Amino acid sequence: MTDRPIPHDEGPQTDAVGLRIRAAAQSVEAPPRLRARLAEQRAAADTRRERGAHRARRRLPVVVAAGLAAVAVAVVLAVSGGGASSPSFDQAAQLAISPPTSAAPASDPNDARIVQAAVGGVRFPNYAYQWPRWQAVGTRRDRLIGRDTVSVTYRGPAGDVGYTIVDGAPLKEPSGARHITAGGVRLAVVHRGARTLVTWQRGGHTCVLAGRGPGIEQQLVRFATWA
Amino acid sequence: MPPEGRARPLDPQRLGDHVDRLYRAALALCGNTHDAEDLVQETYARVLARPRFLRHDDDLGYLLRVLRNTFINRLRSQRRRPAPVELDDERDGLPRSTDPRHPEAALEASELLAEIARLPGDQRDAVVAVDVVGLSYREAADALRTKEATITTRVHRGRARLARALQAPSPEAKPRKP
Repeated sequence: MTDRPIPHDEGPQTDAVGLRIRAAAQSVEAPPRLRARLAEQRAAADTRRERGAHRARRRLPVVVAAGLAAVAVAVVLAVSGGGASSPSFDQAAQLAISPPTSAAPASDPNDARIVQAAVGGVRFPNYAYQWPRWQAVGTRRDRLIGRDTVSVTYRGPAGDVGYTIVDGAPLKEPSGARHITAGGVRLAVVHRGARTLVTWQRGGHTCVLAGRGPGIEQQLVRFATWA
Repeated sequence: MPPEGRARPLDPQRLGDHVDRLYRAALALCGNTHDAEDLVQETYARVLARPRFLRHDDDLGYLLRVLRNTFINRLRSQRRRPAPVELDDERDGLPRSTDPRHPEAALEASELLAEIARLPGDQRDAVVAVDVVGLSYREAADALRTKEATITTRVHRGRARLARALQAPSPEAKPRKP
């Protein structure tokens, strides 16, 4: 679209409108509740930066620990999944609670509600869009008995939450699970020690959310049903 | 690490200096307080998500561009979703009495920002950058990634359209046809 030349005789009138807008805009101030929310966001960002600096100082031990954790996961998967034709829910859950091995995915430039990570066409959500204090902090990619899996770790006020999606047909649901339906989504909730795990299906693939601590189940259900 | 030698980091502690001007811009884009607050909050969340390095922009111009891009992303997302049911009366309009000492000023701001939100997108963005946020034409051109002459034209056309809209009688005042 082209912008046509400005007729000169309209100048004074439009200048007056510009002055009127500037004067009126000065009377508008951000409400205190917005200022408070932004202050919270900045404080959370400061905390993340401090954690990052702390992690950088301890980088070598962390790298070693992550390597050991990866080996441990591989051993667990090999032992518990040996000979099976399909991964088990517990194997997927093990990935959801494992530490990330690569950087956090960026938010999608075309849709701020998702991040740039996916499995079998199923995209990972950007929870920070809805809950600004819950940020994606890392990713890991694994193969689970011939299937691709991607896990994204989100960090928020209640600690870390891991989200794993397993490519391929849905996995068998865990035994002893409690079933609930929220937001039209059927979820299975199960506890493994201190961990709370929520599993459901998206696009025919199994999704697992894992977290720990009091009240985390409610947050996991919110996450699972947010669209 | 900055990608180039001349890049400088955006200081998160200085973001609070720009809240008022970004909120005004958000009001002029969204047309209601609820969405404007959400838009500013989401903009800050994006900016704070990782360290930012600015090469050519000043802080305010950069923040305005992020705000506008976030606004456009939200519009696209909303088009893909069913329209929400309005539950909050506050969503319906702009503040009418933010400053009890100057109610007429608040009313003036309310009417003007609502009219700006109805401008065509290019004109609206230019008027927001220059008249609402207070950027120079050069800064606005940088922030909106266009030429200064284009900004000049769009601001002029936007103001002219606003002048006509503000002079026109309100729909309630128009005589009804039998």
